[in-house]
Formats: sequence, structure tokens, C-alpha cells
Amino acid sequence: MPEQGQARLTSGDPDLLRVVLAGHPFCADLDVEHVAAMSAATSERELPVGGFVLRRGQPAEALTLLLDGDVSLELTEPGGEPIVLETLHGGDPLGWSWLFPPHRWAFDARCLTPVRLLQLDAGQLRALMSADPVFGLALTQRIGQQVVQRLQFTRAQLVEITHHDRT
Amino acid sequence: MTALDAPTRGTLTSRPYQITTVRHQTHDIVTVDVAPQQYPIAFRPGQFDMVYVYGVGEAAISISSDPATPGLLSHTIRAVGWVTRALNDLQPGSRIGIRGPYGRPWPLEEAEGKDLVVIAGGIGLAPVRPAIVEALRHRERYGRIVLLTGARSPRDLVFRDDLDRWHADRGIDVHVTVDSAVRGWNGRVGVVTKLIPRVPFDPENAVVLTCGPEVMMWFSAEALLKRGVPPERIYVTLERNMKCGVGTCGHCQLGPRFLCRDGPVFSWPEVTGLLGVREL
Repeated sequence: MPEQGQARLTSGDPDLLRVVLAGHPFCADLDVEHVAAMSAATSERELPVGGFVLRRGQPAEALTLLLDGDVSLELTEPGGEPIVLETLHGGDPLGWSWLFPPHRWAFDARCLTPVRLLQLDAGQLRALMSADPVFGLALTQRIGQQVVQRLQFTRAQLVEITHHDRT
Repeated sequence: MTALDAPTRGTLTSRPYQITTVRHQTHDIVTVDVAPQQYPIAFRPGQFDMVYVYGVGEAAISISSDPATPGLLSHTIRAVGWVTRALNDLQPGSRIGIRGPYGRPWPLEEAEGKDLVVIAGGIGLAPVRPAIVEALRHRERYGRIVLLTGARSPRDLVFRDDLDRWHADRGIDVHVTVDSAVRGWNGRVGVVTKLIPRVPFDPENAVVLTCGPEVMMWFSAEALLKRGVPPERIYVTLERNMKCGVGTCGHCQLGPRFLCRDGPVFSWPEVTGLLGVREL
């Protein structure tokens, strides 16, 4: 969970939370009952500039869905300048280490702007996925889609960084 | 009659021009300006010239200046080969030969009444810059104008003055991203294609101009198709080893097409079957 920031007052309204969750691109076309089940595991948070959504090596305890703001995925050596691997923005999901052992984050995710996000408790999500294989498959496919897309972007990024255009 | 007054003798003969300004865009990219009062070159956005460094050789270079300013002709060059390295080393006052313009321009007329989306990677912003300048001059002819541009790192961004000016211009929606950055860069990090699904434009009523590494254009086209842009409204500009510039020598042949004569601007359906062919 984030080390800074507090739950928003509006997140106390379960109906509103469900609507916000259902409106996130990650949940597009998910069954209504699945969204309802996810919303029971969801909290809404705000983080300030410089706040960490997650930190490398820490237990991966939540799926994060960014609502507003910009976050940078970073890798930092002790005493060194952080290397920004990618930026994520409102509408993006963040993190899949919560789904796969050893359930620890591989990177830092730091807020570049004030960030509003939804956090879905990983333990509850995994329990829901085990109890309902249809839901489990739907969520795994969505995460898989994110992993594939991110891998394709990363490959393109590698090509662009190493490619020497000829003009 | 001086050498500068010598008349050109045909499409394969360059004319001499004196460099007025050399603007360093990045550590390996310069924009070389000439003031062609004697031999003005009327060009359309997307066209290129063959630029000759005397005693070294010629290279095909896209024109990056404003087509409505005939008193200033600019070429933006990245130092990668003998000729382009020599061009990067030239100083104001040096003379170069130029012949052109050549090639098929960007289809700005087709974009009238539609959204105009420009996607540029690295120095790929140079060949589309005249199209952006031209479109902004006739802003009322277009719907949204969107620029998505990326570079390897913040220090590899070209035309920063333009980007700053366009950022402040309500007439164009500018999105900049880099592939790699350290702290201090507060913009986006990631490939330019990642921006395509989220920027506001009407995919069914848009014309897209893309210029950059072919891999980038390929990924961009796939993302654009996925978003619903008709393939015939996606345009790319290709680059091969152009020599004659007029479709005679065959150096720039890609399958049945000569890029210098039939391109360099192509619609996606014209080249999609060629770009993935290893043997070409």
C-alpha cells in the first residue's frame, strides 16, 4: 500500500466507488457482478507529488488503477539518480507483481503530479479469482494483455534507443 | 558570371548555395540554412533535396523550413555517414550544392476538413515540420491538429523552440515523450505509439502523417488501425539510399517502387506489403 496519502472521503460511498471502478478502462466490458465483487476490495486514494505508489522490494499487496495524474516507473541504485523506465497516466493500470509469486514489486512508482488512484487489495482479489474461475480468467486475461502490451512497447523502446536512423 | 550565378543544366545538376546559419539541434543533428535569393526553391511539405558537399558526395535530405518563406531554405541533418558528417561540420559561409525539390509531398489537401495527426520520431520531425507550419498557417481548414513526437532522450529532441511555441499555441495539441530519461525530465517516458490510443482525435475522420524509424511507423500504423483510422489515410515517409533523386538509378528501389520518384510519402496500403519483406 502507499506509504503516503490518505483515503479520500468520497471512497466511503460504495456506490460511487463502484461507478468509478466500472468507468476505469481496465474494467471495460467486465461483468457487472465482477465489478461489484472487485469494488468491495477497492479503496480510493490521493498521493502528492513525489509520493510513492509502490516501492521496489516491498510486498505487492494491491492492484493499482490510476484515475488522474502521472506516475514514473523508476529503477534506482543506492546513491544514484533514478532511471525513468516509463511513465503511466490516468487510465493506466499499475503493477502485476501482486498476482505472481513472490508478490514483491520490481520497481519504484513515484508520483510526478498529484495522483488519484484506486487500490484493489491483492489478497481479496486472489481469493475472488480462486473462488470464481470465470472471474479469475477474465482478470488474468486483462493482466496478461497489459503484460503483452508493455512488453511490445518495451521492445519498440529498445529498438528506438538502439536504432540509428539514417537521415 | 560567378560560380554562384551559374545556371543549372538539368535535374541532375546542383546549384551552389552559401550557408547562412548552422543551428545545432542536438549533439549530432544540425539545421543548415541557405538563403536562396539567386535560385529560390519552391517546394511542398514532405519533399526533399539532394544536398552536395563538394568533394565528398550527395545525400537526400528532407526540407525542414517553411514553404512560404522562399528566402530561407533549411535542411536538418543527422551525422551518420560521410556526407552527413561533412554537412554537420560545415560553417556559415561554406558552399554546398543543392538540387531539387524531389518526391511526392504530404497530402495536406486530403486532410482539409479532417483532423490532422502528425506522428514523428527523432529527426523524423524535420520532414513533417513544413506540413505542421503550413497547416497552422491555414488553421481554419482543419479539425484538430495533433502532434505526437518522441525521441530517445530529452537531449535528442529537435526543434525545441517550435515545440515550446506549439505547446503555447491553442491551434495544435502537442504530446512529447522520450524513450529514456533520468530525474529532471517531467514529461512522458515511453514509445510515441503508446500515445495513440489516448489522444483526442476522430479516427474515422483523420489523416495521419508519420515519419521516423520504420519500426516506429510500423507500430504506429498498427495502433492507428486498431483505433479505427482507415489504412488509406495513414501516410508514412520512407528512406533508402537515394542517389539520382529522379527514379533512374534504382538505388532507392523498394520492390516495384522507387522511393525518390514514387515517394518518399506513401499511403500505408501502398507499402504495407513491402515493409515486412526481409529480402527487399
